Amino acid sequence: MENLKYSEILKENLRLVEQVKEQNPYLVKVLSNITCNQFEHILSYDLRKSGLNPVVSIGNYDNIVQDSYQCGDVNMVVIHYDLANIVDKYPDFIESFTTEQFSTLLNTVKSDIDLILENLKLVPVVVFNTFSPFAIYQNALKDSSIEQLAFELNDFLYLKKATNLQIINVNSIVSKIGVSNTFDFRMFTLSKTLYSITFWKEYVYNLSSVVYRYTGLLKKAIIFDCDNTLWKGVLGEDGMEGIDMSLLSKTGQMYNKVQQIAKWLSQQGVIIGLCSKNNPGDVEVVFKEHPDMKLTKENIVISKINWHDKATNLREIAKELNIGLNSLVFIDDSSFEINLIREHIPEILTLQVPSAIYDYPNQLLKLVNRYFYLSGKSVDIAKTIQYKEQSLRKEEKEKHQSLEDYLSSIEIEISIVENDLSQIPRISQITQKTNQFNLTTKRYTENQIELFMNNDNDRIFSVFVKDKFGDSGLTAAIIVNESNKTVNIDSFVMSCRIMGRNIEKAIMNFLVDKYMRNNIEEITAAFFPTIKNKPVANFYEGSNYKLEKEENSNNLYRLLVSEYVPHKVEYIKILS
Amino acid sequence: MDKIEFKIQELMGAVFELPVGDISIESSQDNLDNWDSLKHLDLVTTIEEEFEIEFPIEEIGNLVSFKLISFVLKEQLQIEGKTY
Repeated sequence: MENLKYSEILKENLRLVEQVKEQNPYLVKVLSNITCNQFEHILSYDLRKSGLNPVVSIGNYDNIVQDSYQCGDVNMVVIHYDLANIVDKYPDFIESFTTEQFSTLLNTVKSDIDLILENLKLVPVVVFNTFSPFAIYQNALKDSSIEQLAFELNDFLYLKKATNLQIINVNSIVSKIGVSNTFDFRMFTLSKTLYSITFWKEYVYNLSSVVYRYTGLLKKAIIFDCDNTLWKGVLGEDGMEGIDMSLLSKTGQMYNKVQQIAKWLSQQGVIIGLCSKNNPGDVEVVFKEHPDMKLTKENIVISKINWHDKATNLREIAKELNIGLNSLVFIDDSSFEINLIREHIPEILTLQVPSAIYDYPNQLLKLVNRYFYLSGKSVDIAKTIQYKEQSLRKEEKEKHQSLEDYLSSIEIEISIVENDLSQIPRISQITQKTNQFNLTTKRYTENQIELFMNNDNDRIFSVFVKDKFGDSGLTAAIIVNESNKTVNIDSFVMSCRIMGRNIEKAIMNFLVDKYMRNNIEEITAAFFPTIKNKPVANFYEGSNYKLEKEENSNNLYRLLVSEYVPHKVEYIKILS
Repeated sequence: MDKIEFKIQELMGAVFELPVGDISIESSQDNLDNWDSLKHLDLVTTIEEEFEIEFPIEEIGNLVSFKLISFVLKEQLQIEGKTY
């Protein structure tokens, strides 16, 4: 995948989706506070390539907590809770935060994590990324607040006991590909797309091994050839003295390292086997007597040392071990043998010993990371200090268990301004750009917006939103046409950045209340369906509007103001 | 269509999930239904990747039709001193 261009991945996806459509769907939900649709395509590609049938859907932008209430039936949830976008909401640079501001921020994110994990406790796999400071302040030489924040949050994550939690270390990906290849600040400015294609490919490589773990696609055994695979040289020709796997030799040490890794893997429960064209007695002597051998006979579970073809041998190995051919990895230096297996038993994953021998241990480890699950981590971190802190936060968490409780905890405040001439460009822009929460999808130029404001019978409400995380600015607009007894809602547009917080309900309460005071008897409104605005198809019905008629699949609604039952959204404070 | 435009056509087909034949010089945001902001991002990404250029941020919003893409892309190739 590393070598594919993004356009090739998109094309391949169209082909692969046909190949896997008979498989059971594997449902992945991505919750994120950054734009990550490119991740969706790359992940789909990678999983389809492995024969899975992924159905990846992306939650509402920056609605991680809200969406975590609705992940009941998915197989995996992936969370991108990015510091870049958390910190961006504050009007001050994080390095100038007071201790108090800092700890409020830290604890808010921590309790969000708690709440998210609590909501997702029944989902089979939840993937969280480590928090990374690099998008915010990459050149910090001294200890910076952002590093401190990332460090403390990561510490918190790693101490989480949730058994379904898998953590992907973003920082190790960043250090592999470099900061400048990781971020695309141009796209972040434009569309909150923070990460590059290079990053996503590398990230998906890590993520899919998590998926394999839960879908039976993991490998169980690694079968090594011997000559030029476990040691340098050909035993039959060079003899016991001629082969090299010495730590003291430049080339030999690479083979020694590979043996060290294989030995470690065998201790981790990975089956290590041999498949080599040699005299069995000769190989046995090497294992028993060669002073530089790391692997011993005890590490080898199965061995086929003979002159038969390797396809037959590997088939027998799978049969004797009673595992599928697709659970095998085969490593050999010869292109002939590798191609033979690729052709005859494509289910077997092969690795050809690289000619750049210094890269051999790395390639083996890369393969291990992706295809094996090593459970026996012996590192056990001291946890006592955190326990106290954790119980404190538990109280906090119990305070908001429902979505409503959560929403009331974030202190949403909206202010609604009428015919705000200073906002004409922004209002025009929001009508042009908004696709999801847009009931009629009418696009207006600045000029048209100005006309609405100057016309006595029209009115534009602009809605400014803020919460305890920061100020979102003008994020909704409603255009109405007024007459004596009736008001018509021409447009109701809200940025997807603030969806999922019931702000639209508070706005509706405000509008109806206002017009009731003005003795208006009814409000009419319309829903024009598009591909994008399905999420709001029931908005008017949900606010006591009655469907009057359907015209060319457009729904026209009417509300008798006297019949309106206000939405229960007291936790949203309205200023006007 | 020239070589560059054939490539644009191919990339647009990949991004909008349409047969290449459905993309023409007349294609634009107005006549391609699924040309939304996310697809737009994909399109910019694939073009930049293919031609090894980087559009200035203020041009990205202008790339709303085949003709405009072709025009701005050729200009950008020239600015960056690249040939395709």
